[in-house]
Parts: sequence; C-alpha cells; structure tokens
Amino acid sequence: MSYEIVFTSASQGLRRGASGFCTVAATEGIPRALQDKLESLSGYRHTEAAHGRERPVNHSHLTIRIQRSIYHVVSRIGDPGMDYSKRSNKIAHHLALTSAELDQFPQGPAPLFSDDSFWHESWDTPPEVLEPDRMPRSTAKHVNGFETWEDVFGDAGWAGLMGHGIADGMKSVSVIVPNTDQTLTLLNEALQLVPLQDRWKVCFSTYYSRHVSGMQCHWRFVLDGTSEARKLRARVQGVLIDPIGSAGQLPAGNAFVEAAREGRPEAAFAAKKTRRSAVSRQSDTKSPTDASAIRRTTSPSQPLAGTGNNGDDEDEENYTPQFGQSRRRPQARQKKPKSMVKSPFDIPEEEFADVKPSELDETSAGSRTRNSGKKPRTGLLIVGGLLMAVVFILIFFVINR
Amino acid sequence: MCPHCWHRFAPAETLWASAHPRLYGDARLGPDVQRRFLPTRFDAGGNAIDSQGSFCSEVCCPRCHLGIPRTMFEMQCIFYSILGSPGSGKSHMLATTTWQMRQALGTRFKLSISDADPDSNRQLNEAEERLFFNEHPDKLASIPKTETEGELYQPVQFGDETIWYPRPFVFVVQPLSDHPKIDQRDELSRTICLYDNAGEHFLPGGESSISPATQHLNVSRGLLFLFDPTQHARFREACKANTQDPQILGTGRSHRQDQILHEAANRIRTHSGMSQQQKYSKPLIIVVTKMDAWGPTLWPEWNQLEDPIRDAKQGIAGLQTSLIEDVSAKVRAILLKHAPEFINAAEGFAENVTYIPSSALGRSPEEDETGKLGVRPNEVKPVWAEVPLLYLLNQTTTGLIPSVRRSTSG
Repeated sequence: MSYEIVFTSASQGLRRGASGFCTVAATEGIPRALQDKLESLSGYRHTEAAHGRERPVNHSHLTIRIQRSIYHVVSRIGDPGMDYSKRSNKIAHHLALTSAELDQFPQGPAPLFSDDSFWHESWDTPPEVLEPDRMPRSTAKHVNGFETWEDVFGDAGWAGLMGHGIADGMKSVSVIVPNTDQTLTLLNEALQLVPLQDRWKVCFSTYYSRHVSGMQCHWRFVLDGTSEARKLRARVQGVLIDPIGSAGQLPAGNAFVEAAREGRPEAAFAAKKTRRSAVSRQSDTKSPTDASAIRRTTSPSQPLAGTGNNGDDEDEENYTPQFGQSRRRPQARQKKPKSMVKSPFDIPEEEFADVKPSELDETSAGSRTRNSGKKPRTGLLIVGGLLMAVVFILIFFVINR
Repeated sequence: MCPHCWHRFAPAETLWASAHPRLYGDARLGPDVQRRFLPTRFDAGGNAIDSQGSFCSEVCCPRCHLGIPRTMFEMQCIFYSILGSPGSGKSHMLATTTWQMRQALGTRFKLSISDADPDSNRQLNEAEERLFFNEHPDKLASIPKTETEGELYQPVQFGDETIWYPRPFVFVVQPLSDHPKIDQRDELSRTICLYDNAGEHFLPGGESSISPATQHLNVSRGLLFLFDPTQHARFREACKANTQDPQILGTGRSHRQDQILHEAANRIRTHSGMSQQQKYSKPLIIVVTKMDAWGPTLWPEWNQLEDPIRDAKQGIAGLQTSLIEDVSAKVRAILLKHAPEFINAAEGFAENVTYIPSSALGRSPEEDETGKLGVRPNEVKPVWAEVPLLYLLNQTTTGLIPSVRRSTSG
C-alpha cells in the first residue's frame, strides 16, 4: 500500500496541537515510523544562489527502510512563498511506494513528476486525511536525445558519465548545474542511458543539499554557488560533472559518452552487451588470475573527469560498465576479496539491509567486535586441547602404575 | 559531554577523525566523512595517528561520531537552552545576543568571545551578517524560519535508524590579557553551548524518537524561555490601538505558551527523574520579547531602560543585577495582568524565575511587496538583547560576569 504526506508550515497541522512546520495531510493509517522518516526527509535549503531565477525545486527518489519494509520515496520539495506567519516556508510532498507497487510504473520514478495535479505546490486549506492508494499518473514525456545537456554544458557527452556511473556499480555522480530550471529535463535525458528495468534502482535528487547517512543518492544535481558545490569542488566522492568549474575532460572511447553525443542511448547498451560477452568469452578461456588483464583489455582505461579516487578506486575505475547493483565481479572477488568491500557503503542496498548494525562499526572497537566472532571457536579449540592433554597425562600415569 | 548527543564519556574513549584522504566513510555518518577510529598511536604533541600514518586533529564522540570542539575537553562547558513557541523570535534573539555579546564582552568585561567551531556556528554567523553586516542595509532582510530538519540538524545512523541531532553553537569565553583576574584564566574560561531549535520541537508531541532535538534541556544550567506577547490574544487586544506592528494587527499567530512551558517542564522532569512536587532549581529566565511592539502601550518607559552593564572601579564592567531584578518585578506585574496562566506555569515549575524584557531588533518588522516580514539592517537597534544571557552567565558561573551593586552614597 502506498502512503503520502504533505509537510509544510501551517497554522494548524493534522496532529492535534501541531502548528508551524508539520504534516498537514497524510494517508489514512500511515505507520508513525514512516511518517517520522518522511518528515525528516523534508529539508530544503533556501538559497540566494538562484540569482533571481525560479526558486529551486527538489524532485527526488530515495529508498528507505522502515523495520522490515523497503519503500521507494518519490518527493517534491519546493518553496511556496511565505507561510501563515509571513516568514519563509517550504512544502514537501512525499509518496512512499512499496516494491510491489513499482510494476505500475515501469518507466521509473521520474515520469511521476509530470502529473502536476498530484503534487502539492502550496497548502492553504485545513489539514486533511488523504485517501489510500492515490497515485500520480505516470506520463513519460517523449525524450529524444540529449539536447538539454548540450545546451547547458556545451557537450551532450557529459550525460554519458551519468549512465556510466550507474553501469559501473551504481557509483554516485554529482553534477554542478548553473541553475535548477532544467534539472528535471537533464534527469529525464540522462535516464535514457539506464535500462527500464534499472530505473527504480537509481536514487536521485534534482536539488541536492546534503547527504543523509544510511541513504543512497546516486545522481545529485547541485546548484552552483551553494556551499554544497564549494564542498564538492574541494573534495569529490564518486564522480563529479562540473563543466562550469572545468573539472577534467570527458574520457575518450567511453561508450556512454559516445552514445550521448550521438543521441543514440541504445548504442551504450549494445556496446555493454558486446563487452560483457567478450568478457565472458575471455573468462572461459583464461584462468581466474588473468582477471585484471581482462578488465584492462575490455574497458576504457582513461580515468573519468573529476573522479575522486580513494586509493583502491583506481582498480574499480577500470571495470567494464555493467548494469545492476552488484559491484562485485566474480573474477575480482577471487583475486582481491578484501578490497571489494572497502566500507559498508560499497555494499549494495539489498545486502546492506542484511548486515547487522554491529558489523557496520568502522571504529577500532568495531573491528574488535567483528574479530571477536572468531574467539569462541578459538577458545573451544584451546579448551579441547587442554582436555586432551589432561587425558593423555592421566593415561600416562595409569600406564606407569 | 558530547554537545550533539549529550553522551558522557571518559577521555580515553574519545574517537578521532582520520586525516588521510583514503580513509573516508564512517558507519555512523556516511561515506562523505572521514572515518572515526580509536587511536593507539600518538605523536609527541598528543595528536592521534591514523592507520595510514597521517596526523589527526579532530576529536569525536564515541557514540554519535560527530566532531567535538577540542576546547570542550580543555575548559568547563556550560549548556544553555533557548526555548519558545514557533515565531517567538529565537533565531533573531540568538543572532542579536551573540552580536551584542561580541561587542560588550571585549570592551567592557575584558573577555574574549570566539567561535569554538566556525563551521558549526556558520548558520548563526550568517544570521548575524544578515542583520549587522548586510551589504544592502537599507533593504529588507530576514532570517529564514528555523526548520525542524535540514542544516541545523545532523543525521547519525544507528543501525537501520537515522537520528537527527541539533547542531550546537559553541563559543569560547576567556579573560583577555588586561583582565584583572588573568592569573585565574583556567578557572574562569568557559565553553558555552547553545541550541537554536525550531519552536515546533517544543510543542506537545513535537519531539520524536528519531529527532531528540530538545534533550539538551536536561543538561542545561539554565533555561531562556522566550515569551512572545504578540502571540498572546489578550496582549494583542491590549496593544492594538497603539501600534502598526503587523505581528499584533495580524491574526492566526496565537500559541498557548504556557502549554509549551508545561511541555518543556514535563520533558525535563521525565528525563532527569524529578518528581512532580520537586521544583526546577536552576535559573529560568523568561525573556519577554518584541518589547518594541508591546512596550509603548503597556510599559511607556520601555525606551528609557538603563543599561545594566556598569563600569566598575576594578577596570572591568559588571552587571547591575539589582536593576534587572527591579525590571523583572515590573514585567512580572504586566504579565500577571495579561497572562496570569503563564506566570502560574513558570513559577509552578521553577524556584528561581526572572522576567527580562527585550527587543532583538528595536523596531517592528515591515512587510515587503509579497507580504513577507523583514527588517532594514540599518534600523536595527537591539534593546537589552544581550542582558538575558549575561544574567544567566552571572547566575551560573563564578567570576566571569561579576555583579555590581548600586552605590548607596547617592
């Protein structure tokens, strides 16, 4: 069952006694934990970096976990003007879908934003309980080519890095944009480089302001001039697309970049399939130890523009683009098992959900906790050994008598 | 004590933030943050060395992993809580108070005040800049409404749960070299920790398990409750005839502020184990805000208030507490007439209640072409904005803000 909430500043909220920033509309029967979580995702940064243009709107898709349920949260967060107290305001409208409901929207989350009648851009009526299973109409706009990328950044090839990031183990890609007027169009165009079956796996934010720990955001559109853009330029995690700040060059020979330039996204898929079959053919003929050689020969070796390497990432940059969430290649796992899971954040979402919280602790103390799992077995061996020794001594004494 | 999650821990448990560029990603704070670790190697200066051999300088809480200013390990730390209903002026008050303190402490009290962590205090500094360093001082400026989530809060991952802790504003106050008690510098110096919560967090039911935003109430050495008369129906009615303030003439901004104080009292009692009969023993300062709006009608001498900071013979200024107590009695009488339920709530909860009037801006806000409220920075003239915090410091610390008594010779 889907749930939604509308969160804004109002003189009266849905909950008795609530006013100011509060939930003014929610689906009947929404679990409290889900409502709290959705409210916590309602942050909005008022900015002066918009330079007189339209106030930025954050269209986002995030995946959250509440107890044992996974929800895909599709949100629209914007600035509706002043609130009842004549101060700044924001309005966040969240729609939380369960995995079972995703089949209704095979085009992915982005087309849901095209239904303007569903998303609340302001709220000046009394609080309201929303009917269950209200859904936006998913009208996928016909997107053809990467004209907006070319208009905004001067080269449509930059869009290729978005697709490449997803193909290359769901890497996060940040894009610094001069304004947020066209981020939704940029998003829709870039999504052409993601196969339909993978589009719900891509988490994005068209006006990204901060990272929330424990939450993935693969595509982050950051407004130029904001503190987030400054931080990104100072230190990049993942891939940074920053043609405005001239962060590097587009890699030559990258199938996704070429596909975006040529306006033929299907070419990226075809290239990917060719390479994948080539990899499998070579894997059949070569021993597992030759895996690194396969990677080098079958993937573009040029580093990506603006890529923030964290040491071990250098190896990963040479991976063949591969769709899906798994970052672990069988060959690489055989060769370098430790380097494949560098931190908990490298674990795909499904696997992450199964990891016990205690195992996620990165501190030395946490490391000790992880190692302590082996201690009982070691202890048993020691005790067993001692018992055996005692038995041998007793037998020795008995024989001597 | 951690200023983020209020966890008490021994110095030996302190985590350090790694410094090497390869060591990114922390289980509590996410992949964009340097990894936290319990060090085993230190350099000669006492700084930890991370697993890649880099020297580290940032210390962190072992529970929430958020960074803690090092001064909090070196000096006594005092927490103060500012609370009030939505729109009662907490952010304006805080920005003006810190600005006024920066002016007064150095020149008159011979104390330096500085940001313990400029990044953490960034929001407050931006608010100060909007009001006092604005490039367009003749244009309307405003401080955005404080959000219940967003930049003033920091997400921390505990297993599957993300907890949002409020970002503290941390200041260091210490004697300057010409302070008469400079030899007692270590005893006098303090780290002051303040929070700017959204008023919504103080409403009944406004705090959730994932946003324990007001738990600092339990560790506070004193409370500053902002009572906003423009949100009180009877105050508004009494002042209507004699003002053009849009906050008084407008409608729909009423809050039961006594209920908010009751809610805060309940939270303090619950978390600190106080019984219902027991009274709160720390100072409770009721800051009656927006004096420029209600003062002309209800207290005509408001604009002739004396400055309670008096220069003393020892070379440093002191706070004339007797003047503050006199003013408190007058303000209490006004409140008793128009908001007796609030006096009842305050004095039913705390033993030591002081009522201090204040105006953070010194004038009414104006509406811009869209109807949004703002103030022209060149017209901002705070009145008694710094007095509540100075008085709280006077009441809860020894020697930092001395008292002066009125001379009896005259």
